[in-house]
Amino acid sequence: MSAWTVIAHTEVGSGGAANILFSSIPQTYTDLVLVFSSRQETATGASVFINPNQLTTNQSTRYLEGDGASAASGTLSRIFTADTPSNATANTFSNSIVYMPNYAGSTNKSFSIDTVTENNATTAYQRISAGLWSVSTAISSLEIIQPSGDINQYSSATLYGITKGSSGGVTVS
Amino acid sequence: MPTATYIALANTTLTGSVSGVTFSSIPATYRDLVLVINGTSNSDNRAFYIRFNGTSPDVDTAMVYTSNNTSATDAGLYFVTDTTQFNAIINVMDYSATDKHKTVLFRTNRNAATVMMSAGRWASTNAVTSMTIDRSGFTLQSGTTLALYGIIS
Repeated sequence: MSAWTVIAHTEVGSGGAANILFSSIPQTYTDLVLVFSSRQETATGASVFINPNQLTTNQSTRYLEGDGASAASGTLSRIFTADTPSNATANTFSNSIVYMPNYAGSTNKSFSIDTVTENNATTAYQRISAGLWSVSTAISSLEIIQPSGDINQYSSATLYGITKGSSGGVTVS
Repeated sequence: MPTATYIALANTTLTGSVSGVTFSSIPATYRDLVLVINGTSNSDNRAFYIRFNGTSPDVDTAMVYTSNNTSATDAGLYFVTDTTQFNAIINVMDYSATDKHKTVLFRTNRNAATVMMSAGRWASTNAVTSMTIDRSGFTLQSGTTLALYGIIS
């Protein structure tokens, strides 16, 4: 039995979308993984925010990034991934994987985030991040939203649930 | 029905403070292993080692890492813990092969201090049959979860 289960998938249609929202997430899995590909409809900024339970508070991210020329690290008081702006090479999209262990637990929620932008030019971003939502409430919804403007048509997102278990005779002590 | 490729092998949720956890009797039937750890430790910035088959942490092991703006090499295969919520995701490639050394990829996510990625090597051709996660003198705290998965190629 596979530990991974597809919970939901969506693709943004014509005209774009203000956000992508996964709601009524079952509490029956151990971890969640959000995989998405996106592009924004504005040229400003290059980020996407992730809002657990559609809340924007108690969030922070520590990141390490490279842009093709230099490396940097820093923090931001949001949980975020990189995004491809509208002035990047046509038809290119960012890709992000957000791992959320123990999303249904009663402790603060830590995130592991890998993200890259695409651009057939000298500058594109790759970033690894440690996110934290300092809230003990279980995650029951996830919102992907741009800081400004809409999410471009053809952006897509898939939410997976991972279930822990025991098999193969492995013991733990 | 597609073939399942990501199989849950074992897991534990700590009910008290422990210095180490061991996954034993790992069968050789998978291609790779993935270990996911989420929780807290009793002290910040502590390297918890991955020890294969009961070997000592600094024997036949080495890794290179990037943490925030620094990069370095070190002996041992480890992730770094925190007293606030951290997670670590560890991939062990070709763990059952007897004709190659084992490559390990680590991600440590300590929101309070560091985000870290590492590539390590266990210089042994022995198949991995057990994994111990520990650090002498320090503990993983109650509520910390460890889950081991096997990936089928």
